[in-house]
Amino acid sequence: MNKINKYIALALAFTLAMSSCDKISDFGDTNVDPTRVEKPSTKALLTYAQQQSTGLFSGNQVSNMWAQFISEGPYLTSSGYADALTGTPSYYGMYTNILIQLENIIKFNNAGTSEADPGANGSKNNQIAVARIMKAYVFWKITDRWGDLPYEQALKGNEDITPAFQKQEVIYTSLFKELKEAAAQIDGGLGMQGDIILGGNMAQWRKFAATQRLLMALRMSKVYPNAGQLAATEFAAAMPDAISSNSENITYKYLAGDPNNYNPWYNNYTVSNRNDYAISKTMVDIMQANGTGTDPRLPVYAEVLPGNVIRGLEYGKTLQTNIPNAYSRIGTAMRQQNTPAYIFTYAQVNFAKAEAAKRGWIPGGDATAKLHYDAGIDASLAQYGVADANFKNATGIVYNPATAIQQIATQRWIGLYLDGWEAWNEWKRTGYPTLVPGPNSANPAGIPRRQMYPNSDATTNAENLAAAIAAQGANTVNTRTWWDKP
Amino acid sequence: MKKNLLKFVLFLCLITSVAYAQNRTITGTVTDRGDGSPLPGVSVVVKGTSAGTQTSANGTFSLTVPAGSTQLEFRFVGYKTQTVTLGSSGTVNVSMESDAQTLGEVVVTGYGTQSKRDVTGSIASVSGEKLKNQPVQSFEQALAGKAAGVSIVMPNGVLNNPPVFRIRGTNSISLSSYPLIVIDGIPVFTGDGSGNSVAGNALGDINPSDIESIDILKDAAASAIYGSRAANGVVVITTKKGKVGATRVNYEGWVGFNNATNLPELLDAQGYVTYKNEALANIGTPARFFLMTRSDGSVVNTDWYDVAYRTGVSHNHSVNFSGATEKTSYYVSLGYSDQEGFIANNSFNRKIGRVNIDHKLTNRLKFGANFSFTNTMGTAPNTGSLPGQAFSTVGLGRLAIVLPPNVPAYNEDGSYHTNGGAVGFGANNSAVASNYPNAEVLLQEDRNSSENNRLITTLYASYDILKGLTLKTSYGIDNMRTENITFQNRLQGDGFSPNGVATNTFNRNNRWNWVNTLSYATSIASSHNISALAGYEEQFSENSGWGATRQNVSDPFIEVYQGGFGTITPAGNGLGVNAFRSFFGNLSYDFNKKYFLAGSFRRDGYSGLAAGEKYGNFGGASAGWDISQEGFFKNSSLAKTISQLKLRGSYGVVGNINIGNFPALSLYGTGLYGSVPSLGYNQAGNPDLKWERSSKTDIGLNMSFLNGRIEFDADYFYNNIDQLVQAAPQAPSKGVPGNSITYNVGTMYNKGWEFNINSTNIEKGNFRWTSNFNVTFIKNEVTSLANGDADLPNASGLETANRTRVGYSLGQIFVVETRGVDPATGERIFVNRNGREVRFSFGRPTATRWQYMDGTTAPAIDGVLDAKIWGNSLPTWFGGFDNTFRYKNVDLNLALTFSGGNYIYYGTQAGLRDQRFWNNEAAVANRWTSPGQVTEIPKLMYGDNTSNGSALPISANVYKGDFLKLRNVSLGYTIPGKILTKTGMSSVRVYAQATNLLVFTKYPGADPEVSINGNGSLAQSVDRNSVPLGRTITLGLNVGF
Repeated sequence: MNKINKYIALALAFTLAMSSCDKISDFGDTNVDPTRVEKPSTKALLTYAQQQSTGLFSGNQVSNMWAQFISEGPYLTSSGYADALTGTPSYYGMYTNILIQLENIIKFNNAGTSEADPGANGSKNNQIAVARIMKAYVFWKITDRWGDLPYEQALKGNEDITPAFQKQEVIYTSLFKELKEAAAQIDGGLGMQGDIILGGNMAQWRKFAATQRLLMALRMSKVYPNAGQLAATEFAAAMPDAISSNSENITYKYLAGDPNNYNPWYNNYTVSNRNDYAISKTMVDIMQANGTGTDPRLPVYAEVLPGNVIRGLEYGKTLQTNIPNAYSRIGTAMRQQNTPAYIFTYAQVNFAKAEAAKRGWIPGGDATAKLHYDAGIDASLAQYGVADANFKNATGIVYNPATAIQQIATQRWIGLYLDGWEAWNEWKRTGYPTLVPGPNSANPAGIPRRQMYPNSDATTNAENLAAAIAAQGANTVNTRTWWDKP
Repeated sequence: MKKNLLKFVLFLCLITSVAYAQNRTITGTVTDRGDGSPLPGVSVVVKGTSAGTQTSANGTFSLTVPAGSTQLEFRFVGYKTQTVTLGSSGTVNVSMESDAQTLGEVVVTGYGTQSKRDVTGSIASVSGEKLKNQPVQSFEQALAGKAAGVSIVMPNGVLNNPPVFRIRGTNSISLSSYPLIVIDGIPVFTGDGSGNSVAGNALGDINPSDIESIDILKDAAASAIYGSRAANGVVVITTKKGKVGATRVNYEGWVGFNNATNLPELLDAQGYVTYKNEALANIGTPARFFLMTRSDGSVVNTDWYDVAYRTGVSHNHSVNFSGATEKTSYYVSLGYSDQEGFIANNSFNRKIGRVNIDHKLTNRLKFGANFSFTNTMGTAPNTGSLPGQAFSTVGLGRLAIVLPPNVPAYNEDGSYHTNGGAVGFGANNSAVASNYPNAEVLLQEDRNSSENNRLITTLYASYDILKGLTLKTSYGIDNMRTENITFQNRLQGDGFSPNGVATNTFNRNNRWNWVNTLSYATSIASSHNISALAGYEEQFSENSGWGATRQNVSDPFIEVYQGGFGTITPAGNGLGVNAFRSFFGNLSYDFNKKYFLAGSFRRDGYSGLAAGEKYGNFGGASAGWDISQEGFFKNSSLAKTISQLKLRGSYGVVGNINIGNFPALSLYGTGLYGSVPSLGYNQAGNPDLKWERSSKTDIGLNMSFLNGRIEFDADYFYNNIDQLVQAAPQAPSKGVPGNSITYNVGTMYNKGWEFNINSTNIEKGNFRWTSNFNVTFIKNEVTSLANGDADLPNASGLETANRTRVGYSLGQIFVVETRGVDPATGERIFVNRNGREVRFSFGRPTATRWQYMDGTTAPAIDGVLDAKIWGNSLPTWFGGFDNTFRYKNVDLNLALTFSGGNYIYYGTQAGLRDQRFWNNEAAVANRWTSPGQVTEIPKLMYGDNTSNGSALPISANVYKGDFLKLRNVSLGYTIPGKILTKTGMSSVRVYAQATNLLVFTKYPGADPEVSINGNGSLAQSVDRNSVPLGRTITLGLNVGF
C-alpha cells in the first residue's frame, strides 16, 4: 500500500510539474477568431466597399421620398420628414462601411504589405486609382447631402483624433483633383480585382472619374453660373472622357439567386413581403402631362393595376393608406432580384451637356442643347427597354428654348427614377420639377435641403461640430450648403 | 483497599475485556426532539472507547456494551452531541436536539472549507433545506430574500427564465453582472442558453434538491481567490454526499397549479366598440367598430387572456439514496420535473441523474467523483417577455392585451379568423383592421423548443503527504448541448410573409477545468493556527453554434425543418474559444481563535487579452478580532448574554473579465457577392484592453446572543469599480466599426449596509418560532463614463426609457414630464425642455398638434431633448423575512420579501391606453369627456399614440416600485415516528404551499418585479408588454426510508 501511495504522489507531482509547461502557456492560438480575418486582401475590401455603397444611388427609401418618386402607405415615417428632423440617418455608415475599406486599400498599397499583393489584387497604381475614385464618389454623394464634412482628417480608425470638418467648397476642389490624379495614375498593369462594378476595366474607371467631374461641375452652376468660370471650365475638361453611349452606363448589378445580393426593392416587396410604398402621384402626374397621356417608361416604373390603370399615391398624406390593388407599387421590372441600379447613365450625361449648352458653357447654343436633350430622352427610353424615337417630340416634351432648363431638369428627374439622392440634389439646384411638401410635413420650411449632422457627433466630436455649424449655419434640414444658392 | 482492588479488577477487565468482561446489550431508539421522527445513521459510541454502532433506518440501535462502561455518546451531524449515563435498564431512548449552530458551522470558500467562526470575509450561507420543495426551475429562483446583499428578481413568469441575480449591486455597465457560479469546484455556464423564444437558464440543469449548501462569497477577502472572475461575487454550490450510516432513501414530490396574477382589466367587446367609436367621433370620423353576431345570435366577446393563459399543472419528483461506510460514501439521485407554465404552450421538463462518490483508498489517498447528467426540454411561445422581445408584434403578453375583443379566434366553421397575416376584423370596418396576428393561430401552429443535454462532472484525488499537507488534483467538465427548434406558421405572425419558417440551431458549449492545490494546516504551540493553500488552475471553454433557417414551406402539412422549403440561410452561427491559466494561494492565521489574519492572491491569465497584457494580479486581505474570546470579555457580565462578538474587515481587488473571446483583435468580417469574396472592417480591437477592476472594502460585525439563539451580522461594504469596459463611442467619421472601440474607461461604486438576524424567537414547550430577517441598503453611483462622461441611453426595443448619467445610479428612468390632463381641453400636458407646459391634441393638423397652454403653436416634444432623469431604476433597499413556526408535528413557513427605492416605467400602460385599433384597459371609462373634468386619461382621439406614451415615454407611466411580497407560505404536517415504525418509512411530511401569493404595492402593473431587459445593467425596471408572474399552489410529500 505504501508503494502505491508513493507512486500516486509522484504522479500527482508530475501532473503539477507538467501543467506548468503545457501548450497553452501563452494560450497558443486560443486568441484567434476562426470566423473572421485579420489580414484582408484589398480586392475583397473593394468588393465589400462596393456592396455597401449601393444606398448612395439605389434602393434608398428616404431619398426616393424626398425626390417624390414614391409615397408611403401604411406607415408614415419619412414622407413628412419627421425622422430627418431628429438627425437620422447618420453618415456613420458611409465612413465605416465604405470609406474605411477604400482608405485601407490605399494604406496597404502604400505600405506594400501582403494584403495588397499586386499579383492577386491588381497593380499598385490601379488599386490606388480605383480606391481614390470610389472614395471621391462617396465623398461627393455625402457632401451633397450634409454639406461640410470631416474629410482629410476622417478615416483615422483607432487613432485618438476628433476629425475637423471641412467646407464643401474645399471638398469639391479636392475631389476634382483626386479624380484627375487617380485617372492619370491608371497604368497598363493588372486591373483592380474584386471590382464588381466595372470588372477591373480601368478604361471604364477613367470614364467613371470623368463623368463624376462632369456632373460635379454642373452642380456648381449657381456658384459659378457663367461661361468661362470654374464650373464651365471643369465641365468642358471632363467632357471628352465621359460616358458616350448606353453601353457605357455604369451600373451596379444585383444578383439573381443570391439572397445577400438581391435588389433592395425585391427584398422589400418580395422577401419581406412589404407593401409600404407606391409610386407617387407627383411622378405619375408629371409623366402623364404630355400629349400622349403617358410616358413609355411609366408602365415600367409603376405597377399597372387591373383595368390598365396606373394610380400614384398622393405624396405626404396624413392618413395611413393600404396600397395593394388601390395604388401602383413600384413596377415589377424595377424590383426583380437582379434589377440593376444605375450609378451614371448616358442619359444623365446628355442632359448635363444639354444644360451646359443652354447655359453657354459649351458652344452650340439651343441647337446643341436640343441635340443632347433629344439624345438624353432617347437614351433614357432605351435604357428601360422602351425605345421610342417619337416620344421626344410629344407635346410638352419637345425641346422649347423658352422652357429648356425646366424641361431638361424634368426629363433628368424622370430619368433618375429611384436614384433619389441624385434627383433630390438636382431638384435643389434647379428647382424643377416643382415639388411641394405633403400635408403631413413636419418641417414648416418645406422640403429638406440637407440632412442634419448625426447626434453622435454632438457627443463625440462636439468642438469640431460646433465649428462646422458656425461656418455653415444651423444644423437643420433647411440650411443650404455651399453650392445650393437660393 | 477496596477501591484499589476495584480499580485493579476494572483494569483487568479492560485489558481482557474480550475474554472476560461481562458485556451487556443496550437497545433503544433515537428520535428528533423537534418532530419525534426517528433518526437513522446516528453514531452510538461507548464513551471512551471505539466501540459503537449506528442507528438503523427506523432509528433503532443495539449495542454490546462492556460491563465497565457507564456512558453512551450519541453523535449526529446537525444535532447536539448527547451523552447518556447508563442505568440498569437495557433500553435507552434518546431524543436529540438539532443544533442550528453546527448546521452552519462550516462554509465552503471555493478551494477549501473554513469554520464559520474563523471566517473573516463576508460569506452568506444558505442551506439546501431552504431550497427544497420550491416550485422553481432553478435553485437561484428560490434564493430571493434568503441572504443579505443578494438580490434575486424574477422578471416574469416564463418558465426557466434566468432571474436578475446580483450580489451587492450591479457591478458592471456593459459586461455581465451575474455572479460566478461554481458547482463542486467547476465554474459552470450560466445565462440563457436557449436560441429561441424558450427561456433556457443554464442553471435549470441543476436539481435543487441535490444541493447541500450554497455559500455566497461577497467581499474581496472571500472571493479574491477567484481573481478576474470575482467582481460580481461568487456562488459556491456543494452537492450532497452520503453520510455515515445505513442507506437512506428520500423521496420528495409535489404537484403544483400555476396561474397568472394581477392581469390588467381590459375592455370587453361592448366597451371596445363604444370607446373606439367615441375616439373616431372625436376626430370627426363615423363609427367603424361594431359588435359581431354569430348565426345563433350570440355576440362575439373574446377574452384573449383565456387564449394566452391557463392553469398550468406541474409535478416534480426526486428520489435519492445515500449512505457511507468508513471508506466509501455515496449519494445517488434521480430527478424528474414536468412543469407547465400559466402561459399556454410554456413547459419545462427535466430529467436528471446524479452520482456523488468518495472513496478512501488508503488513509492518505482519497478519490471522488461528482457526476450529473441532465436532459432539459423547454417549450414556449414568443411571450414578448425575454430581452429584446418587448415590441415584437407576435409577443403573447402584448397580443393578449391589444387584440380586439369583438372578433373571434375562430370562425363558426372552425377555421381561424384571420385577415391576411393579421387577425380578422370581424364586423369592424376593414380600415381599422388590426395588424396583430390571431394569438390562437400562433399557439396552435407555431413550435418553439430548446433542449439541453448537460454533463457536469468532477473527478478528484487527494493525497495527504504529511500530516496537514494535502495535495489535491481535480478535473471537471461542463458540456452543454442545446438544440433549438422553431417553426413559425405560414398563416399568421412572423411566418406569414415568408410563407412558413423553420429554424433549427445547435449550440455546443464545452469547458474543462483542472485545478491542482497543495494545502497545509497546522497548529503551533496549540495557539497559532496556520493554514495555507497554493494552487494552479487551467480552464478552457469553447462555444460552437450553427444552424439554418428555411422559408417558404412546400405544403401546409410540413411543420419541421427537415421538410420541403424554398430557401435556406444560415442561422445561429458562432464560434469562440477562451482559456484561463491561473496561479493562486491563500494564507490564514489565527491566534487562539482570537486574532485572525488572512490573505489570498491570484494571478490570472486570460487568452482574450493581447499578448503582453494577458496576466493580471488580484488579491485580498482580511483581519478579525473575536472579542468574546478575550479573557476580559469572558469574565465580564456581558459574556452571559453575548456568546460571540467578532469584528472583521477586509480589502481586496478583483476583476470582471466577461469581455468575450477576441476583443483585442482588429478583424474583418466575411461576405460574398455571388462567388466573389468580400471583407469588411468589422471590429476595431483594443490591444490595451484589461479586465474591469473592483476594489472591495468590507467592515463587519458578527454577534450572537444567548448561546446562539440570536445571531446578528452587520456589514458595511464599498465596491469601487474602475477600468469599466465600455464601448467608447467614436466620432462617426473615424471609420470605426460600430462607432465605438472597447476601452477601459469609466468608474462607479456600490456601497451600502447589510443586516442579518437569525433568531429563535419563541421556544416554549412544543412551540417554536424561528426567523431570519435580512435587509440590504445599497447605493449605486456612476462616477465617470466614456467620451467625456457622455450619457448612455439604453433602449428597450423601440423606445428608450433609461439613461445612465454620471452622478446617478445606473439606468435612470428617463422620460418626458407630463402633468396630467388639462381639465379645460382634455389634452395631455407635457413639459418641454424649458419647463414650459405644452398640450397635445391628435385632433389638430400635424403642424399645430402641439400648443402652449395659451393656444399658440409649440415645437413638438422630443423624446430625448425634452426628457429628464426621473428616478432610480435600481432598488435601494431589499431583503427578506423568513419565519418558521412549529407546533408539535405541524410546521408553517411564511417567507416575505421586500424591495424598493426604485421607479418602474410601466410602458405597458401606454399600450393599454393607446388610441389606435388596440384594445384598452377598462379604466379608459374615466377618459376626459367634458370641460372641467379632472381625470388621468385624456380625451380619446382615434389614432392618437402620443397622449398616453406610445410615441415617447412619459412620466404618467412611471410609478414607484416599492413592495412587500408574501413569496411563500407553506403548511406542513409530519406524521409522528411512532405511527411509522411498522411501515418501513422513517419520516413522512405532507404540505401545502402557496408561492407568490400576495403583493402589497402601489404599483398598478401586474407585478413590481416584472421587467423585460433580463440581466442587462442599463435598463432595469421597465415593464413593457410582458407576461406577468404566476402564482403557484403546490401540494407535496417528503418521505424518508
